[in-house]
Amino acid sequence: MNFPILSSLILLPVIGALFLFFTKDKDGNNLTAKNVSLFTAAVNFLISIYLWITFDQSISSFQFIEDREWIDGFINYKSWC
Amino acid sequence: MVLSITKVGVDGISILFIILTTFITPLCIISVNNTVKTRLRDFLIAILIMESFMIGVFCALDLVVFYLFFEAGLIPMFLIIGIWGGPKRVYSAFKFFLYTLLGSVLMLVAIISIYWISGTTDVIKLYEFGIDEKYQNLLWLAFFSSFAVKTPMWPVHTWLPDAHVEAPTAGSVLLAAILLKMAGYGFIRFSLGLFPVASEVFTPLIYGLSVIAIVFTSLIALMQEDMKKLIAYSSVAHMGFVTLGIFTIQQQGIEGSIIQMISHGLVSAALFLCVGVVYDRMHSRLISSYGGIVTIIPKYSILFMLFTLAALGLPGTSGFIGEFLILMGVFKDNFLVAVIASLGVILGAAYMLWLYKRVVFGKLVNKDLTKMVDLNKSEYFILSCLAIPTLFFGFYPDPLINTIEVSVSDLINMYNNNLINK
Repeated sequence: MNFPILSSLILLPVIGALFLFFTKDKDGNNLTAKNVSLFTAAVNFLISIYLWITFDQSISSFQFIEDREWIDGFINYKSWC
Repeated sequence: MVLSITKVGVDGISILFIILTTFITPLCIISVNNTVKTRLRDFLIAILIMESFMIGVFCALDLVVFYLFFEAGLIPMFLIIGIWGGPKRVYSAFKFFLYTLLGSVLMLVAIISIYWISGTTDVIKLYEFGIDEKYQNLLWLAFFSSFAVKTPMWPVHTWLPDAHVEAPTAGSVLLAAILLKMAGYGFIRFSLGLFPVASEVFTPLIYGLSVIAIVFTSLIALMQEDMKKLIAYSSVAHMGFVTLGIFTIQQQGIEGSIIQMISHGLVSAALFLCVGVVYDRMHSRLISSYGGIVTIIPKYSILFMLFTLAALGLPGTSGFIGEFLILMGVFKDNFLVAVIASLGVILGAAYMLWLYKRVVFGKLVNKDLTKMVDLNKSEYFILSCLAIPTLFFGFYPDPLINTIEVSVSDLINMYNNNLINK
């Protein structure tokens, strides 16, 4: 699995929130804001269902692992074992 | 790298919480139609950011990343309570923030010391090599201080009723359905996984606090006059069952805890939405201002009844599966604790049914209630969306159990192996 599915789950709501940030804030029934956020959350739900379907229930180890260096040599201390 | 997500991954336990999060959030967004009147866009931004942090908590495989998401989740929730809450919102928001932050600071200290002891904060590596026995007790207590406040366990539960009462409906739903589960998940993933020796030492402490939480907060819930407060206290009692089940270290106990958390996520969310529905119409959360609404709003009454029964653990709803498995696990481990915890089930039935009776049945005293309109389309849709999985998993919990089974048994094996080696 090459597609970073977990990162996209985490980042998609943030991207949706960024879109919202650039819409106009009206009082009352703000349909644009509602639709954008609902669309983002619904897509995220579909991705998580896809995650559940492709998840292998027969093995106990962690799956869909993504590993990135963040602060080099500190947070992911590679040279340990 | 540009992305600052260092290490993420899922196993059978975390995947269910991720799906719960992504399932509840869209429903919250639909529910803001009626509850949030001002600055709707900012409210939705806060909810989306919150969702991202909650998913991050459940798939972080690095202690530092876990801590970052765990703490960052406070900020949107603080804003949701503090800006869109009720009259005493500022007090509640600060109480919520300070309680949770104070507990979590000790967890940060523990994470730093784990880094100095083991040289890594990578959860998979820590699982593999374990943490030196002599440090485990202190580290366990530091993690416990954070999770106990968040769960919340007695006696640090007092922020929860305040936060729930003041939060807008969507905020209450997120708080009850997902935020509380972060602590239960943390107990399973970190307290059991990283500190087996210490978990064995502190099991009596957890049993004691959980049993007190179950019985004591159920009794408090009986006496509440505010509907939201009653459901908040019932959440504390339900989370007492969850912590009890986790520390039995039995297959049934831990599986029951996870299913109870998922079920509580669906049911408490629905109950807070039910309170929100009548609050939007009458602007009162007091139980005494209702009564006799069954003929006026029948659709609402039926769905409210379904969730009331699910909250007290009626067979055929998901609440039953969780409580039953937990009690089975506890009976294997400690008879006395199991008997007292069973008493909590009866008290649970008492306060939930009494709440339902006072709100829905009885004589119609308040004449304003006759003007109430039944559920509109979006409310009907949200509550039905929550009712379907509640009933489905009550009759057929296999999809949940199959997903968590291997991960839980592997966790228990690892736990027992660590105990033997030490």
